[in-house]
Amino acid sequence: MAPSVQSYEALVLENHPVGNYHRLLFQDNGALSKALPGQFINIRVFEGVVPLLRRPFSIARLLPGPKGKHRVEVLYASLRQGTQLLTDKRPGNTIGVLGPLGHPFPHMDKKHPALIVSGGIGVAPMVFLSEYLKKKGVPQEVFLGARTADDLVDLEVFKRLKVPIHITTDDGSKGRHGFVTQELEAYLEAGKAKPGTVIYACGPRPMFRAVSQVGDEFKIPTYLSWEEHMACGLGICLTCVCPVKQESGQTKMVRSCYEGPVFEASTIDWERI
Amino acid sequence: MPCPSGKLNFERESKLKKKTQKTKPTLDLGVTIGKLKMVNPVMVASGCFGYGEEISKFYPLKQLGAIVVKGTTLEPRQGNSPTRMAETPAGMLNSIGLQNVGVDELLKTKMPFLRKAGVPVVVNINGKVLEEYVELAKRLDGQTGIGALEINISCPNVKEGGIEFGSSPEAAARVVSAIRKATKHTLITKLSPNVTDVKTIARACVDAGSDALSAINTVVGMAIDAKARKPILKSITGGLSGPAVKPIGLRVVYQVRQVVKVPIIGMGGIVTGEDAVEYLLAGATAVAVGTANYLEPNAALKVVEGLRKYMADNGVRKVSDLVGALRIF
Ligand SMILES: Cc1cc2nc3c(=O)[nH]c(=O)nc-3n(C[C@H](O)[C@H](O)[C@H](O)COP(=O)(O)OP(=O)(O)OC[C@H]3O[C@@H](n4cnc5c(N)ncnc54)[C@H](O)[C@@H]3O)c2cc1C
Ligand SMILES: Cc1cc2nc3c(=O)[nH]c(=O)nc-3n(C[C@H](O)[C@H](O)[C@H](O)COP(=O)(O)O)c2cc1C
Ligand code: FES
Repeated sequence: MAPSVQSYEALVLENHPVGNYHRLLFQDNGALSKALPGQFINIRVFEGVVPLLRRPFSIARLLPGPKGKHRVEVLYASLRQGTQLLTDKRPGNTIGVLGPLGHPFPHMDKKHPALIVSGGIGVAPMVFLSEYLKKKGVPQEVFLGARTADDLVDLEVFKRLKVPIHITTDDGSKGRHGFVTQELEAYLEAGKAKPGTVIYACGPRPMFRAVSQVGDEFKIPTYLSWEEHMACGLGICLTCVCPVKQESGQTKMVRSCYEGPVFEASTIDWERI
Repeated sequence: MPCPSGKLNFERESKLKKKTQKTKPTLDLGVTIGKLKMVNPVMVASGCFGYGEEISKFYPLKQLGAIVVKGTTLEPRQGNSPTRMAETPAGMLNSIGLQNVGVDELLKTKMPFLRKAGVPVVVNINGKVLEEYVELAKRLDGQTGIGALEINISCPNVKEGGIEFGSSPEAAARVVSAIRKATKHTLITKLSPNVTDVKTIARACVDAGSDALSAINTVVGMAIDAKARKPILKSITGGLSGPAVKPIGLRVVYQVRQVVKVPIIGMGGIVTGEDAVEYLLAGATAVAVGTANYLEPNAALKVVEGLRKYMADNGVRKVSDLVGALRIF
């Protein structure tokens, strides 16, 4: 946690469905000005106690706003109670925002060409990452996986960035029919990765395992934006831990909200998950 | 004669305001439990505040009555495998399994920070066997900055120790009296709600030398994902906390108050100043805020403010006047 973490009420500017997901735009008070790709926020969607806890969301984009304060985009799936309530927020309503939380993706420099891999709503942190890498002139390839065409959101953002995009869908409704990790594997098998290449991935657990195996096979450092149930997002409850192997051979339980949410795949102790 | 300008009126009003503010009686929130002296009765509960470092960026910790640090063991512990948390209606289940840095690290890196912060520290101690509790008490004896030890005989999330000692009066008494001999620190014994007769256990702890009691630890519970047909927690069961357990906490404090005279620290589901007042009325001398810290970084401060407001609004000058002041019809 950077010393600049703040808890504040933010004005909702937009909130509407995009394909099968939702896009929320809110006005930042300046707390997130220096936020980087991979960091996240914890949103209090409801003032009462049911649902009780905040909900964590990646920062999907920082857009220029009035007086140097950004407008912040969140891409989210409406699943159960908390995220469903979030869809009810209208422009003019407020949400409680806690952030910026966690650490950004590592590297993000020209020495480390990036393979960005996302599954479903795991695209959220990747939009920010892709825009950021583009600005810094870091070479990148984007692999977007989804169940179906309507799960592909912010596609036009990637298109505008003019970055190479590989699309796969489970049902073949757009791009290649199959899993995103197959597409990634095909790319690596063709020997297209430059020296120094790293993989950044976000998606469901089965995809994490598959991407980790691909990274392992091709000896490419793979960074996962981990998702675990978290109560505070602040580092004080120890609910959100990820088992991480240490150099000593020991496994330590590391807070994904604080030291994470990004972990290097080869250090994760999958046996303890 | 009508007032020539609104300004004068305003000035007069603000002068009046200043005067009434001056004459307002100061509220006395101070509380003492054994050697633990607190500026107000609001503490933060073990496991719900880490070691204070993270929240110290939001407000000065010395505004709290005391900080109870994460359950401490002799050796560092990594705790249980994830998933460790499940949200439930108005509450949450956790199964941390006492992950902590161990007593040496606590003394080396955490205590200096907390001493500097100027807030009394209560160390929550845990052992697998009686000897470990005793050894911990010895190690912590004579350390400055520690206001009290909280003996955790009620952790539902570890296989050995913990609740084993908290579910029978004999076992509880054995631990407390052994620790009593090992330290001069004020002793608080933390009670479990997961027992048939909390009163007998409370009495046994006090008879064995506990200076105070705290209640409640979490309530054993379970959450199931119907779609996946799986428990949500890797450890299957966990401890329930948050507003959902407040009625249980109040009941335990009220029952224990009937049978012991020592101070009780009430906790379980406190979010507002009024929640804290309810615990005081039920018989608690002080309270602790746990899960609420996860909702809002300054949650515990809000409880202090709410308590102040209640006292001011209801003409209560000394917080101790609220303790056990429940009117039974
Ligand atoms: C660091 C991080 C970043 C995330 N970024 C995004 C994002 O940008 N867009 C998006 O749509 N989702 C994101 N998620 C997942 C999102 O937080 C969950 O989908 C959401 O909390 C579910 O809430 P609910 O009320 O619908 O579900 P419920 O199942 O009712 O929630 C119950 C509890 O479980 C937790 N929970 C449920 N699913 C998850 C999950 N996948 N990860 C963590 N906690 C979960 C909830 O937070 C809540 O505490 C992120 C998760 C993490 C940890
Ligand atoms: C995540 C978590 C960790 C906890 N860890 C401890 C602990 O280490 N020792 C202990 O005595 N109690 C522990 N507790 C229990 C709390 O101190 C408190 O007794 C309980 O949560 C009820 O208060 P609340 O409803 O305000 O949270 C923990 C509770 C939670 C939620
Ligand atoms: S969510 Fe509380 S420590 Fe990470």
